[in-house]
Amino acid sequence: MIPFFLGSWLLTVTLEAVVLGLALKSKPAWQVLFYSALVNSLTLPLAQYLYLHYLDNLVLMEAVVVLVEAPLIYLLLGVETRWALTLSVLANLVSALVGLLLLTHH
Amino acid sequence: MGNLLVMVLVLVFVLSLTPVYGDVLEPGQKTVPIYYVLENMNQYPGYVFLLHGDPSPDFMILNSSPFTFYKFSVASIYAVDKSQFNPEELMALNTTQVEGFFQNNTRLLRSNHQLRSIYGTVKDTNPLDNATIMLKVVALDEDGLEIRKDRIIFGYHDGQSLSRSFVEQNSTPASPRDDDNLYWYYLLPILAALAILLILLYRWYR
Repeated sequence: MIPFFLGSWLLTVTLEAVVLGLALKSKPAWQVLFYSALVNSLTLPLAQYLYLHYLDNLVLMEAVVVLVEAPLIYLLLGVETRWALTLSVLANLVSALVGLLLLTHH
Repeated sequence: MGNLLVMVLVLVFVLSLTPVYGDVLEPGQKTVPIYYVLENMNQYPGYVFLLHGDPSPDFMILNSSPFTFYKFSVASIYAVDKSQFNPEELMALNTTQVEGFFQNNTRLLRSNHQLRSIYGTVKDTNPLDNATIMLKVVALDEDGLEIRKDRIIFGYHDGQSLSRSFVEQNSTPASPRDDDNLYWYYLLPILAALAILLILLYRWYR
């Protein structure tokens, strides 16, 4: 059985890489996947920790994650700020929805 | 961009307004409730299963749904032959009379377990949210009602649930996830932040 942490990390990294990859077709796939892994390695554990202990609100938590990931996408992938925020919203929306679906059907 | 950010922040603030629940607990502690499910009660269609606790509930007619009760109560499950049970008669009684009904009624079969509704008090940082004990009727006839605690399902704040079987009936299994995973919560974000910083510095100085 895949540990819960590893499973959620793999799922989030993959889903967000797919969203970013589809939106940024000019970027090499390995680069998008690598940056998705880096960004989510930073935000996912912190988000889970905050959600578990301090911020018992999924919407607020996702919003914080979006606001943290947007500048990272801007800096790492070299896209303009508005596009980076949009991509961050989309990527996190997809990963949150899929995660919620999996949890509710678990 | 500025307007979009303000809109996002306002929306987030509105959606984040949640009710506040008060409780008398030491700071930094939380109470973990226990729910019970009587799994195989449908195998005994001729019986009605009741819960009676001290000081509450007066009585509760059980079905296959999870149930719990007042946190300072101790409760027991009773079975009574359906043909000898009239719920309206019981509902018409006051608390003292209900107590007498459960103490003196020879038609009632009392189970071997006393149930509590609190798993324990844990640190606020513990991811454990609730526990559900699955009960099974192993014997039910005119001689008595025997119930076995089959397994306990721990529910965590992040939606994960883990099940543990009862090895001994008087010993409740411990939650498998007591402590935070330090490597996951601290080491991984630090390494990721360092890697991102190195990439950005490399680009800056290249």
